[in-house]
Amino acid sequence: MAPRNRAGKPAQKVLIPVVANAPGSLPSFFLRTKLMPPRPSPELLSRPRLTERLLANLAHSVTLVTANAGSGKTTLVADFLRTQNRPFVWYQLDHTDADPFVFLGYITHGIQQVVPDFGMAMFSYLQEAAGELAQHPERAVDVLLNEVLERVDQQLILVLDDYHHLGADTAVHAVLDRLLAYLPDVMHVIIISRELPPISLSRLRAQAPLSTIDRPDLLFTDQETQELFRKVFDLELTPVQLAEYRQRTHGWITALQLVRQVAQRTPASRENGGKAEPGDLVEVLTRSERDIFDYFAEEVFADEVSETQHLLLRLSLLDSIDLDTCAVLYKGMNCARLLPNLVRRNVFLTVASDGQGEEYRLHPLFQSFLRRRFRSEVGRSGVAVEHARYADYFAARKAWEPAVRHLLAAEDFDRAAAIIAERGREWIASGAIGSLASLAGALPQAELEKHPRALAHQGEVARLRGEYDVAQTFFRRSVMLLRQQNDKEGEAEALHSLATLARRQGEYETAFAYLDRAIELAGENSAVHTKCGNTRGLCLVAMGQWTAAEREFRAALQSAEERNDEYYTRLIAHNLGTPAGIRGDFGEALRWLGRMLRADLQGAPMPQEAIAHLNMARCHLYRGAFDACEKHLENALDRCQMFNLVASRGEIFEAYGNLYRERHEVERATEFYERAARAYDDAGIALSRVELLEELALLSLQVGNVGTARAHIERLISSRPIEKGEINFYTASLTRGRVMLAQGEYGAARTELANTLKYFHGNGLYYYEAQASMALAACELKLGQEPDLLVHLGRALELAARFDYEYWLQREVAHHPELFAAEEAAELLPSEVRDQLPSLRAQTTSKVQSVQVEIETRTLTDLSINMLGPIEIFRDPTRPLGADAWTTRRARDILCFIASRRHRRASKDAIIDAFWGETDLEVVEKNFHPTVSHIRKALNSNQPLKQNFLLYREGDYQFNQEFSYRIDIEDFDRLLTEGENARRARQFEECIKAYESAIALCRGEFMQGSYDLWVEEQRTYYGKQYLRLLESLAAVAEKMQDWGRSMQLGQRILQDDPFREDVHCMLMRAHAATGNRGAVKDQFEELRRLLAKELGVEPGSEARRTYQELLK
Amino acid sequence: MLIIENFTNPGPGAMQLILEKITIPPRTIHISRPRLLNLLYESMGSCASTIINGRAGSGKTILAADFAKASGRAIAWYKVDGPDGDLQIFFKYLIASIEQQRPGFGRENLQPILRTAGIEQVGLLAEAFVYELLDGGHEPLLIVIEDLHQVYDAELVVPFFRRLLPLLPGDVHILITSRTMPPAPLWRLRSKQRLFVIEEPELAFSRQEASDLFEHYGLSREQATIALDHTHGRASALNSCAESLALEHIDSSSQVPAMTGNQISGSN
Repeated sequence: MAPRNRAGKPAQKVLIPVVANAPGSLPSFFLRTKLMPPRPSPELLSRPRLTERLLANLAHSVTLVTANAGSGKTTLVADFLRTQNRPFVWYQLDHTDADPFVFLGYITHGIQQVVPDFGMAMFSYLQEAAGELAQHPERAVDVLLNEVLERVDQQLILVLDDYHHLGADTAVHAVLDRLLAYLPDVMHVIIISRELPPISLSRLRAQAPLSTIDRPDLLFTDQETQELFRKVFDLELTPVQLAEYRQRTHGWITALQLVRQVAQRTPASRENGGKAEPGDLVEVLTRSERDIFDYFAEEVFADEVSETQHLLLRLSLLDSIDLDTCAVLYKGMNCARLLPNLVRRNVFLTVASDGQGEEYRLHPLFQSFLRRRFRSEVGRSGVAVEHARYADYFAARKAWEPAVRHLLAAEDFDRAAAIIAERGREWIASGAIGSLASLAGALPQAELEKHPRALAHQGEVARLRGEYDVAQTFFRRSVMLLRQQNDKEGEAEALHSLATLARRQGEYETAFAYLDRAIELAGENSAVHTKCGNTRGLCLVAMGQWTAAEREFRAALQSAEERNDEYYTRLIAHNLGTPAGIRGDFGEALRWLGRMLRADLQGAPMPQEAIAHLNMARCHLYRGAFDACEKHLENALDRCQMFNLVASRGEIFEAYGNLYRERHEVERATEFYERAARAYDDAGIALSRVELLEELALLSLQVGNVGTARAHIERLISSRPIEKGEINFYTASLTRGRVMLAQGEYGAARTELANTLKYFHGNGLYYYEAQASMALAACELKLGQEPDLLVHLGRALELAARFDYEYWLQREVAHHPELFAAEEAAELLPSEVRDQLPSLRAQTTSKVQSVQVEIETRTLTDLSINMLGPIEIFRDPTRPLGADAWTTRRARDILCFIASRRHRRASKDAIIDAFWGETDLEVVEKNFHPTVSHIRKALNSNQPLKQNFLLYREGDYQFNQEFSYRIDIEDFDRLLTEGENARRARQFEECIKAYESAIALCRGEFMQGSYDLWVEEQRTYYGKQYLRLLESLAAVAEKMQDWGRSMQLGQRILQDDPFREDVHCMLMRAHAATGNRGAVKDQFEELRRLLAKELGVEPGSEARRTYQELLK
Repeated sequence: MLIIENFTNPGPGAMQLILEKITIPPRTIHISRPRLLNLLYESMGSCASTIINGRAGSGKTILAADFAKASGRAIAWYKVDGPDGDLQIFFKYLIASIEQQRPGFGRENLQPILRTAGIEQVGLLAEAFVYELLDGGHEPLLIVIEDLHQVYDAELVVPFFRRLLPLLPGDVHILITSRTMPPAPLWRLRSKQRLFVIEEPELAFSRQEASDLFEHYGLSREQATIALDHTHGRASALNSCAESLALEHIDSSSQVPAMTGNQISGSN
């Protein structure tokens, strides 16, 4: 049957014939409108990042655009084609096209619209071989392909829009499969579909890279959303609004558009010429949900079978969905098949995998829709039943947080409060204090009061958050209620918590009162009993009663061990180390402190370990065990970063400073003290509360800067009088005494030190006593009070021997050898120290001197990158990055690339262009982020402090501006400019100095060994600049008749460019000036030979003339 | 009432068509509303169809008629009533209204199918309808279907429009007025530029429009503002309020009448 044409209107309106083997079917009409591209949307935002990909994909045979409903697939492709001047066929598919006959007919018609004589063979085949077509539809494809090869001679794009409308069960898929398998290169097919079409994609992939634009690609980025609102809706979004939109819509364009339509409909915006006020937008977002939900109902939900609908409605109550949970909660549903299938079909469900399990999440708006719909279907009570079921499930798995969340939703407040009361402690121990606080806060007060332990847990959360007043109110209320309920253990717990609050506020007597009552209530072998002992010990430490504290700790430790309470055993054992450490018995202290760390036991790290490591590092430092100290500091910092312990960070940096100070690495010590000061500041800790100023004073003292030392220590003492803690006052006073000694104020120093010695001796603080004795002895030497000197020296040495202060003693002896000049004094020393006396003396002096020199010449830099020559990257010159830091050279070169850009900043695109060039985007995507992460890791390799030097901001990678950098090309450029400026100002000396410094930076060609295009560009530039500098300097040298220098520079220029006749001339002049005629000849001969050999020419007239004139 | 013989299908089974139903209603209101006309004009340019959705008295019909006259297109008007839910009647009127602009419309393909068609063939009827519309050489057409809600319970409506709207040729636009939204999925059509919806809030008079209207009656801006707040911008209520105030203005003195809620009740 021939296509039925109306007279005079050929091929415009064709009735596609009835399929021959389907008798009784009705005719179907060929409708040109199905071959029309969609009209341009008035709210169009061009999306270059995607259209550029579409353009690049044209090089391949197929592009797949798959994403959920309303993601802007069609709009994107239509917009792309509108901007391209390329012929295309747009085929809008619907369910009626699931017939190969119709499908091929429309494609043929479509091509005919572009290539007028196309379709003769195909139409005739469709008419003649309808039977065969039904049986072997793919054969018709061959006819079509042959005709394409014959008739189509410029690239033609075929768009199959809404391919998913065809359904799974149609022979069209086989047709398309064949079409794509043998597609001539003159054609490109773009398939737009909600789901991946059931064609053999793997084979396509094997043949050529299959280009796909999928859901994540189509989601609007923040930048695009901002752009959309700015350009299309004429609105500027604030970052807060942008974040709100992102959170609700995930960048789903339909939601964004619906929001905008609602915004336009609001009366306020109408009066305002269609512009909504940005302030209203968030409200508009909420109001537009009705439309969005309608959209979901019609476009997404209605497409699912009832079983899936049933499941989706219920799953919407879960915040995240994992297959194990589903398998238990929905036994008969085969979720393991259903959910991945929904993800594949882009039904607003995404899956994330962490390598261990998969977690599914509904789009937030879709989830809201499902929840509302579920409630309207089963009513509030029905929803509550489901929530209660979920709560049971989670409670059975000890997942308290989701259990309580669902109980709250089911309005079963009593059970929710009961769970918080019973499980709060485990909950807090797991670190999820925020969720406990918010869930408990959502419960009615009356329900919580029925379970006063829950109140106590709320108090504990407040305490951990530092809200002490709130915590106190909670605890007091819970104590009262627990007493009414006769819950002795609970009451004792709450009382203990009140005691810890009192301790923190320095109200020790109150704390003791609470503890006494708590112990009365608690059983002899209870956990509260142990805790109370520990807290009492901590109070005693703070009060300076170390022996009493040790007694308490020992009792508490025994109680913890009896109860097999590993946690408290570790904690209390560590605490037992602190009085020993304060007393100065570091060996004993280390034994106890070490029990906090469990090298033998596997278990999750604990935040308290940071403190243990720090304390151990301090003890090791006092004993001169630097390596052990450093190791513990590294661990402390690691824990500190892991648990984000802001307050401890400063202390750790401070301890690092002390370590470097002891090692005489003054620069690094200074750096770490600076870091400590910043960290204390970040944590809101005043310097009067910590020892940093004292340590700084000691550092200044060490480098001989006594004035600064005095200023530091006076500042500390004035901000921390004796009432604020005796021990701290006297340790500062000890330092002040030593500074006075160094300043020559012997009398005042003696008084100061005598006072401190009295205090330290009276309180059994042996390390400090030894130090005070030694310093006092030094005073007495100056004051000529020999007998006292020997007494104090003797005491210091006695303590050193008893507590093994060998390192300290050696250092003191080296610092103050004059103390031991007298025979009697030297006699007091242990023999091995005495033997080293002369050599120690020599060593320390030279060390101190070298340190001072170092300070003057070097400044602090966090990261150095040298590119003028072989690449050098280091953070600390004494501590190179790990040998395997740069296993991928690309990572290293990318760092250099960013460093070499303006503002040390490069866009992601620029990086991809420079380093991946034409590589397939998929490959780039796979490699890009691992490479960037490699850079970050490399810069932290073998470094104690992990820092992030590379930030990603608004599409750009840039150097973190918090740190300082030294990049040789920046220095080079700066010196070049300085030199130029000086030259212009006729300050030639300055100019030469700058140029010489710049040349000194050049160790070879730019990034020696790298040959990327961008490197070559930079290399040429710096090569030219280098030569220019040499020339300028050589010219100056010649002018100043510095012949040696001019010859040296000339030779260096010739190394890079041997054909420079002018430089040869300069060298000849220099030789002549120094009276070396032979060398003039040689130079000319060299030039002549070179030119003849390499270029086949004679030297130019200028060179010849110079030569002849010089020889005259 | 004018009655015409159904000239497309003469013979024994011939039915009579009411001419009024396929004629643009006369204009009654006194102001033009450029805001909404522009909106409709934009929609005609960018979408295949428009629905004006609003309760009685919200000014749908007047707006559609105004736009029909201003659109610059050939107009096929069809006012739907309850009995038109019958497939044969519906198509007879629809064809007749278009035939006034495009003589011979529907004869070749549509009517032969229609003669035997049942409800299952509505999709095919839509395709044939489009096929006939594709017949080139005519001026662009605006088909206005007034009060489509009258037949929302008829089986034919949803499948017909669902098939029709995605396929409409570029030079044909369908404008539907209705008191409720059609009981069918529309979002896909909306997101694919096939359908534009004007809802009641948009139909409501803005402050400026109310002022213009009142000025027409010789009334003040203040009166317009008060009336607007009382009527929530509903067209017919606002209009009758203006009328009664204007008459009062003529009858009594130049005294500005006091506004009360009673005076400004809706007209429906």
